[in-house]
Amino acid sequence: MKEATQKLKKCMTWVLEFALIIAVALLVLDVVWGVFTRYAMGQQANWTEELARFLLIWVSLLGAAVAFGTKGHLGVDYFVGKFHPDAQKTMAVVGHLTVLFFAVAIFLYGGWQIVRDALTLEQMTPALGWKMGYVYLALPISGVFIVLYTVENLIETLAAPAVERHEAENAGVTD
Amino acid sequence: MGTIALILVVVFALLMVMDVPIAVAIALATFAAVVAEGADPTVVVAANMVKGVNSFALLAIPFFILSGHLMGRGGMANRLIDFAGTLVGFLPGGLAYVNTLTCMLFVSISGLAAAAVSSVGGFMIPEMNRKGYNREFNVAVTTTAATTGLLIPPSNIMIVYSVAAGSVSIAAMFMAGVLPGAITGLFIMFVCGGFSFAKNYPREPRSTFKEILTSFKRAFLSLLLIFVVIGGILAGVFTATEAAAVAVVYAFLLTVVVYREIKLDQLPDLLLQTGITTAVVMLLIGASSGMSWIMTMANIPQTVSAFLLGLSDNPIVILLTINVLLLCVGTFMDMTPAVLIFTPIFLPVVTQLGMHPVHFGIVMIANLCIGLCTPPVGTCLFIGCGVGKTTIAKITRTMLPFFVAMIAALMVITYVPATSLWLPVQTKQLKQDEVDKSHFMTDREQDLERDDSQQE
Repeated sequence: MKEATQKLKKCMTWVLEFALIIAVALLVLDVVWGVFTRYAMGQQANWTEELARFLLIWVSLLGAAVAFGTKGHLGVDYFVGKFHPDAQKTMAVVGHLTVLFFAVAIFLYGGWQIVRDALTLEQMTPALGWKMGYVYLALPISGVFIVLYTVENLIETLAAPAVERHEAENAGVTD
Repeated sequence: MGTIALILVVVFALLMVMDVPIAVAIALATFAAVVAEGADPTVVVAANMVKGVNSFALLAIPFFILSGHLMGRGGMANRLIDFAGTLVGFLPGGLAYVNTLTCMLFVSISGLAAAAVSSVGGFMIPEMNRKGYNREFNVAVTTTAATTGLLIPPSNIMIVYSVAAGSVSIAAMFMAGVLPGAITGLFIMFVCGGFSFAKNYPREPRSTFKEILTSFKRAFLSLLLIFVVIGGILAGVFTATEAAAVAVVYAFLLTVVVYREIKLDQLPDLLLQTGITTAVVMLLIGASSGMSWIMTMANIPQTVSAFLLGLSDNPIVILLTINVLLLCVGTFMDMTPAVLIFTPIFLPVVTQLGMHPVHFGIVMIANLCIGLCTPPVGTCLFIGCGVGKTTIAKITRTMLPFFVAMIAALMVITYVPATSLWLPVQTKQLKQDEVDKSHFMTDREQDLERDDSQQE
């Protein structure tokens, strides 16, 4: 069971990180191309700015999912450290459940509604002529990954004994 | 209205105490507040998540992060150290000044305060230990100088501020940060001077003009990045975003082709790190976008404004109150979320006092910089203590004079608006009459007289 989830996580992370690397690289190339066309050809290609903004949305949302996997999001761990290890564990579990609610309610449910509305209204992007719904698709896709990572984090927290976690954290602070 | 504010604060505080990621705490506090307002929270928060990020100006952030990662790992640190060494090394306690100057330049070019502490500090702290400087002093200099570098452009936190504040020019923010950064740096150097005098720290041999020139030549291409970016923006050649993209190309050519410190196979990892760091900032921006919408709906900025302005009619006192509040926030919260949360709340207050938004942005950033090197939560301080092999408990006493210096600099920056506003006006990034309209600390007496005569 544990091995299977580990394997799944590894595979998922690889796909997500690969997509993220490509998106960041495209972002750089796209804006550089915009600057280049404006100075070398006198007229900026009108799609570069639009594409850049859409790529930024995808980078932000996919990257946010990766950061949930690597616990890279900014938090305030000061107050939690003041509590008893058992309470810390409970808080960590509640914390993961909160993130789970966030991902399901906002990214999956809210995101899906936005995608559906944009598709039924047939919103098009002005320069590229793409369906706006596809741009918004980043929300639910990122949501799926956040849910998977958070469930994984939750299982990990539940499996770890409370005392060990406390000691490990203390060692980190005094060093 | 009061209930919505209460819901926002309670939910946010509760989640933050539990160490839920701040972006999630902001989003869910907004979620609860929107429920109370009677709208559909899922769509509002999700739509703002995308809308807040869908901006060409924000694109400068991933590019500055990427160019920063390239420059930070690309062998810039030792070139800057050598250059600063020939300039100020001959002074008593010379290495302390070298460290200060290098950290500030490094952070200006890379935008990474934490990386400056580990890479510049990683070399300078052991070197200073070896030459008999006090270990805690060395860590204190490195961390305070590195955070101060965030005021020197180009700086991502300024982009975050200008987005949070609405219509504030990024170029004006960049120019506005230069003098306050220099002032804070000078104040830190005064403290270094005091320590050097008291402890009789050694001098380095004086460099000849030729040595200065040689070291400058080695560091020149790294330093040039600042001038390409800032010069390009000032000359109107690029927007901030385009300048940042050019910075990426420049940093790539410099570190991969010229310095050859970065191998091509390291690039995917750099791109990945850039993507993740960007996403962390963007998720905060997206979440805050929803929060500032609901705050405006519930008139929260006006309420806070009325409350603060009711405390006193003296702008000095109100600004002092805001500064103290932000200092407290900064001790446990990172800069980006603090700027995103508190800009929409405090900006209307200070605008009513006649403060220019650019000036307030610089005050806020200078203030929150201090928090990066204070316990209980100070990223730069923690890394510094790790690099210098000391502890927070041991270093606190040595840090005190540095905090005093930084707070003194903050007071100068707060109460002398020209420190922030003079340079943007000179470089034509702000209009003189626009600045004249912001009469904070300048002609208050006249203002009062005008009010009095109007009342009569």
